Amino acid sequence: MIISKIELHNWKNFQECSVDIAERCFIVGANATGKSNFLDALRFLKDKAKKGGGLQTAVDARGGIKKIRCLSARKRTDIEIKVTLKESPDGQDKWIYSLSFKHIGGGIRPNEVIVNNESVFLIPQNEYLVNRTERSENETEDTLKYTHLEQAVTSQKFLEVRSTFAEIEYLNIIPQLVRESNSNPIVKEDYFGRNFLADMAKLNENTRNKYLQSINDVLRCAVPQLDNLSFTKDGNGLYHLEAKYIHWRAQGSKQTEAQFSDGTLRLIGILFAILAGKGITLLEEPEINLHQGVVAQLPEFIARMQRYKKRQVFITTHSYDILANEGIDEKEVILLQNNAEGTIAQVIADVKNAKDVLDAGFTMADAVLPLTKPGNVHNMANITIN
Amino acid sequence: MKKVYIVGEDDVTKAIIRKIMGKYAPALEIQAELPARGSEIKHKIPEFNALAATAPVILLTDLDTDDCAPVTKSRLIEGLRRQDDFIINIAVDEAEAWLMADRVNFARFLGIDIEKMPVSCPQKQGGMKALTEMQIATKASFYLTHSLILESTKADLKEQIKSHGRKCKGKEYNTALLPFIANQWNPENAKSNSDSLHRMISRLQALNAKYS
Repeated sequence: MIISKIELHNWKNFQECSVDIAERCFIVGANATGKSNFLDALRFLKDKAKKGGGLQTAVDARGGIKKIRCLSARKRTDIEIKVTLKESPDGQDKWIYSLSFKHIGGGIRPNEVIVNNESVFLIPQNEYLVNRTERSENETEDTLKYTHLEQAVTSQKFLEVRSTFAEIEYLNIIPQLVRESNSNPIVKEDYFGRNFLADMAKLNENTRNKYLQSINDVLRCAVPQLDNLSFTKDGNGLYHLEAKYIHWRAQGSKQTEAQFSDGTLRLIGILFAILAGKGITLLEEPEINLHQGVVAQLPEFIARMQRYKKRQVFITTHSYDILANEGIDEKEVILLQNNAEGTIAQVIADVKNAKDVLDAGFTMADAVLPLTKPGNVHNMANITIN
Repeated sequence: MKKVYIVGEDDVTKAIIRKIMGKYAPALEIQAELPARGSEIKHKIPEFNALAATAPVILLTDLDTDDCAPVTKSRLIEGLRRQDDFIINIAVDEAEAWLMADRVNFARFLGIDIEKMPVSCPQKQGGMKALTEMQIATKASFYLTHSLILESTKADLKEQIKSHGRKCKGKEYNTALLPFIANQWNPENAKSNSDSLHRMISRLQALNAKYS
């Protein structure tokens, strides 16, 4: 399943947002326009649908509803996420899952959230499988603390929606955390690399070797002094990534993740997320730490992976080299721009002045990056440093 | 307000366009600065020309070595039918020469005697009429960073602008020049020493009148 449309209301930067989504989706915008928060709406659905997750857990993980609700929120105070899903990029829309929730409690009662409205609509049958509000029969404040999506029994009829959300993959490797992973206790769920080696260890050996082979093929091109990437266990039972560092000695030297460069670890992490993920993959600024020559290869590498694995990928980026790829379509890029009412999200196909630039023959980079550049950034030259 | 695209090779040229627009073309507003990554403008002339069919494109570039401004301009648009709103401006010989053309303010900015500033003189540019431009022995930015700034009495400014290598500019070159362009540079003074600047101002005034 892939997501074909995302609608947000009062979600972090977005007071109102409604955008169509392509199979490969680039999200661009200035700093603090909400690129990560846009992805976080999808991570929220994952947190709700995954094993051990749920609505309260997902809200608590974000610091409570006050940290989620858009600062530009007006009369309407609930938060809503609505997602349309379809089987394949060329298919028809199949499901609409919508969740609106609001705050209860405060004072001596714990701060919690309850469902304001949850609905699951099956488009081909024109039928609501779920449509619940406070006024629905048999609903109480307690039942509304849980969504039907997060419960196995109540989500039976739309299991593929639940699985799609639960399988959303987000891995944003912070190299230092991978290097230190053996000195940290395993945390329950981690997106930043602390569990990276432990997660690799859980894979079937053949599967892991297959992924490592593919990663090694890329490393040979991007980091030519590294070869023979493998996964090992040391005498203390700790897992390591190991590779041969080629130098003037015929046999080279072995290095582990502790010696790999930041860029190498980031690249391994990105490739692992792309290869090993089962569902929709979210990549956060993949250009970080990488040489522009490597970065420029990513759009086509992702497209090639999608041809084989049929997986949707969301990529937030500031990178000229990524966006200068001439294969990027105007329907694949979402532009985020700030205004007084929060962030406005638009597909580039709907942004006239960006389309004018594209139609004149420029690349997507020239069409969108000038629109994401802060208008007064050149005034940094006027700042007095004391 | 008419939205326009501005095109410059570097921060200094873009700051000059902004200044001239602000002073002489109040009916124009910047839609975006192109290209997203600088120093590629001469390869993208057909694209800028096509874009000018939708909104004015104001381009400022430096004179190519050994060419006069009309030749540089005709080379840029060779084989193209130039759109009316594609405004090509060539700084002779570099945008920095236009800054120096405001001799009084630039001398004050550098903290040097005005007598040490280069002067303008009529030059042959290939046409019937001699054109007045600043007479500088080397490229204007090279002269500024390797010679003129060394005369400055302002130690901080000297440190920002003077070259620390054979060919490079100062480490805080843009940081020093951008505030000067925004706050002190007076194109009205400068245009009497640079016909190429004078013509850019006239073109923007005409564009402004067209969309007022």
